[in-house]
Amino acid sequence: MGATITGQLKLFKAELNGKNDHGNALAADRIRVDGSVFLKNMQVARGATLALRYAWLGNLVLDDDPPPGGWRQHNLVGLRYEQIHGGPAGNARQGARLLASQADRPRAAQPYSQLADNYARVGNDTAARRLRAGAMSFSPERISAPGLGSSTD
Amino acid sequence: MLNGAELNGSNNHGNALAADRMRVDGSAFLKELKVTGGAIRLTNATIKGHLDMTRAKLNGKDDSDDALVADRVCVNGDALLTRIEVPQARSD
Repeated sequence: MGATITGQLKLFKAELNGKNDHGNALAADRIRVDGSVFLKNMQVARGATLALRYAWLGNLVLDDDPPPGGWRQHNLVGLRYEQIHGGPAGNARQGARLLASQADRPRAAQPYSQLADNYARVGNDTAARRLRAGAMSFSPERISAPGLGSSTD
Repeated sequence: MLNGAELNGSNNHGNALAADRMRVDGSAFLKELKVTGGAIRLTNATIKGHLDMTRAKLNGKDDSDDALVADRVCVNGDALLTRIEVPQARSD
């Protein structure tokens, strides 16, 4: 927790099958990574948490598919990033699900604006607009529309 | 450089490697490190280059069931944990 990495953090194909006595497979709260963070093809213990609360990441790179069990088991409250690739980045419906999974956690909601900004930056203005419009409820249904991404996530 | 090292023991805090506040002016190579005795502690360490723990197998745990404790570590290069393996917790 509270680590600083000026380059990249690669957890590609990491197998995190344990969890500590707080239930975390990875406890990286308040970590700051200036480069890319690769959380791809990871294996995480069932029911264990990836904790990235208040982390700041330059570029978050995720699998295209949501993690097994969804985002709910992971704690991303206050997570900030400059860019995001994979998963929610190209799939507004999945993005809404990610936000919804964190929305009722105490203290701070996952900022929706950074994901909306990311959509706008890559030219998906419709997704950005709908995500902002649905921000109060973070409901996947409110931003599900043709062309916004797969409904299979 | 601890590439391929095998750390099978631990101190009385459950640590196989206690490197708190360690300062490395180059890179720290712990590739394919195999740990069975306890946790790896890098708390408050400063590594001016990369931290490479590719394919490390962290089979040890400390008293909190942590396999790797790197709170407030500062890595001025990349942190490579590609294909790192942490087994099931004792309580699982």
